Amino acid sequence: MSIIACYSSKGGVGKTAAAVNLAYASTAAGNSTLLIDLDQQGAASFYFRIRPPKKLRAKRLIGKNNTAYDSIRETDFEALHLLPAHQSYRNFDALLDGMKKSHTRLKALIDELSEEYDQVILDCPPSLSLVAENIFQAADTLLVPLVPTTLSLRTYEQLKEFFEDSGYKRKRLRPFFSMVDKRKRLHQHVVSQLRHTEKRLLQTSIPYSAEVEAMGTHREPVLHFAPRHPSSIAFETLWEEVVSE
Amino acid sequence: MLESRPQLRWRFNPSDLESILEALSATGSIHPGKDSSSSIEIFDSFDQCLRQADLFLLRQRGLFYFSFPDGETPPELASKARKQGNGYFWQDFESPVAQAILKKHLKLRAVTRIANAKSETKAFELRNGDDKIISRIQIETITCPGRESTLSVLILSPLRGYEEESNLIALFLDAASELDRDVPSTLDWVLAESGQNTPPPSPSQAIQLSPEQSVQTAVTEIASFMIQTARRSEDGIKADIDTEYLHDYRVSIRKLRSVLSLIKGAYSKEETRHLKAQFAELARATNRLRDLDVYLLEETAITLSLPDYLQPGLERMFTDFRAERVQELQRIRRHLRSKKYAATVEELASQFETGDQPEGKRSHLPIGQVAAAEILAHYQRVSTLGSAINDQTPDDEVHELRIECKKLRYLLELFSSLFPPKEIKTIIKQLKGLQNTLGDFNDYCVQQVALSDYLEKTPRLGRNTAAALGGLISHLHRKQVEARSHVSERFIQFNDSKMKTRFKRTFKKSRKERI
Ligand SMILES: Nc1ncnc2c1ncn2[C@@H]1O[C@H](COP(=O)(O)OP(=O)(O)O)[C@@H](O)[C@H]1O
Ligand SMILES: [Mg+2]
Repeated sequence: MSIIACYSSKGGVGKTAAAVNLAYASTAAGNSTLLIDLDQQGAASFYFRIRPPKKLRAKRLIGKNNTAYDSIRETDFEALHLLPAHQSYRNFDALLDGMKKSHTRLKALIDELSEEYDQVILDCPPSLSLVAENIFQAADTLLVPLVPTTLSLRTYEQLKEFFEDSGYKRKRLRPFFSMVDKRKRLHQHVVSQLRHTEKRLLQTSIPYSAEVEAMGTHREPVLHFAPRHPSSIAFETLWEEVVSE
Repeated sequence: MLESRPQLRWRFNPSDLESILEALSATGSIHPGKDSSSSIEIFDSFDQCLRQADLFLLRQRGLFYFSFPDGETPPELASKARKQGNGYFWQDFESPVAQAILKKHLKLRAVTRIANAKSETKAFELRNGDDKIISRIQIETITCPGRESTLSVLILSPLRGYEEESNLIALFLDAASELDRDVPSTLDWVLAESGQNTPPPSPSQAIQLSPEQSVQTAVTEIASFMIQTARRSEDGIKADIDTEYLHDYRVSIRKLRSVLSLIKGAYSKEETRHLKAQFAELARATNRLRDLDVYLLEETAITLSLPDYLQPGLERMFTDFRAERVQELQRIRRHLRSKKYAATVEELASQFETGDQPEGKRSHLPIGQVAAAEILAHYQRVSTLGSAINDQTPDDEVHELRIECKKLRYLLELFSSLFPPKEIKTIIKQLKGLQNTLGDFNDYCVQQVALSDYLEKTPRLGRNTAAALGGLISHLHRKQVEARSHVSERFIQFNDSKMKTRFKRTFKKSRKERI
């Protein structure tokens, strides 16, 4: 079993789009897969038409007697399950702060839930707080979507530094370009710049595409409703690249 | 590996399908999914030993897999059969796990397809207000080729986390008068529908005698059952599925002959002699094929009993045996298909059916007392012979003991329904131990004779073969001497003081009543 997190400290960069489609690709490749929606916005849950269960509270999820197991929902796709998001994640940080072993709570939870699964994928909220530290502890691989702007490269540098300072292994960080618009000069420039300097950069880029945006109206992974679309093929290829190593 | 999810099943009448679908669509949340069809093929041995062990061997798209009553096993157990042919032995499966499981149950038997069916499935999805699937519904229709009736089942599979919402649908379905929660398992239904509901009955199940019934009716019942059993084996012998068909055939005939000679006077002397002669002839026709089967079944064990460098010498002999077996099987097929055979067996069987055979001296005596007396008499004989055996006793007397033990065993088995089952079970278990040693002793003798025979009669035997046979014969001789040396010790184990009182307790009372 491996744990892949789609993480960035920034919002709107394509974490959820990647998490949802990679989970779908993982299942299609024959892995029983659990997608954990850690973002209180619940976008990943929304894409699978799943509402948060009434009983799920952050305290239960992370605290001792968790009911997370009972909160797991089967998506419409066989062997793809989802642990839905909940509003109360807002208080996560405050909650974790008062706990012992507050950095490894998430890892312990995943260990408990993941017995039946070959693959766990985390859709992360944009933060650099205690929740993020839990994610850094738990994930084997952190996929970091980068929109090709100078600013986002700086954010990524900061993340690498944070890893360095906190003693996390930097090689678990795997950036990839997201929402790439080939027609934009700047995009082309930034992409080729990082190709030279960052050897952990994944080859596959996700193109900017109206089809990915349309996931909001379909409420399904783009890989499902438009499997032959270039953005779908990009997610598929990204998945293969990530697991091939 | 995800745990399999619980399913709810309802049976319904195929003619109600339309109205059920209508009622479901009235819930407003049902969407058609993918339809599919598949075939179900069930494999088992003639005696259904897999099913007896609650195990189903199924084949789909050329691939075998197991199904336990609580669901399918993980795919690792799926195993492709190596061979195309009439039957599959445990060795014919690739997966070592499958081999181990099958070997344990099948032993020398092969599996064949005992039933098959077609399954047509219409799939539906139940969705909630968010258009999220909460449950899947399958409507499965199963039919067996050439049969009228169908099994129609509605299967509700709630998705994980949506059990409560699905429950409302389940309540709705429960309330529908067309749907019945009482559903046979698909495989049980297919077997029943294919006329494979129960395995062929074993003698101890089928032969239920009462002590008061007459000797003649009891013997007739046994004979009639044995001849039916033999006839049921004929197809398997002709199709050459496994060697157990012929073995069963011969055992049935042997038991039939034994009951005629052990319970004398059931019919007139003339009639008894006539029957015995007829059945002896039927048995004799298959002697050679059985011998060859035994040699070939032992091929590996026999070969391994020689040192490496002598082993190749045996190839010639086994090749000869295999070739002879092909011929012999052809002959037996012709024999079993011949008009003469059919007429003979038909006539014998119908005699036992009608049950008006000429009477003998003991025809009207109650079987309970006669059987008890015979058992005691043969036990007495076994005791006398066995006690006399020491290391100097000639082999002939050991053979005699073996034959007496066999007679006693048949009597105990054929008439077990007349006596307390627990006592009979204990006696047979202990007797078996003694018989095994005696059987080994006999097998080693018989094999030596067979090998010497082959050595003598086969022209142009190579030096290697001759050497291998010589080695084998002396090996068998040593084993024979060894088995022989255990006989008296095994006899004492069998015939302890408890055994003596057990025989008295079980059979003496019935005999006294007779006198
Ligand atoms: N490759 C893409 N092309 C076009 N729009 C995208 C793409 N990826 C994501 N989006 C859109 O951008 C918005 C933010 O994406 P999302 O995956 O939710 O980001 P995050 O999870 O990082 O906040 C969403 O409206 C989404 O539909
Ligand atoms: Mg998101």
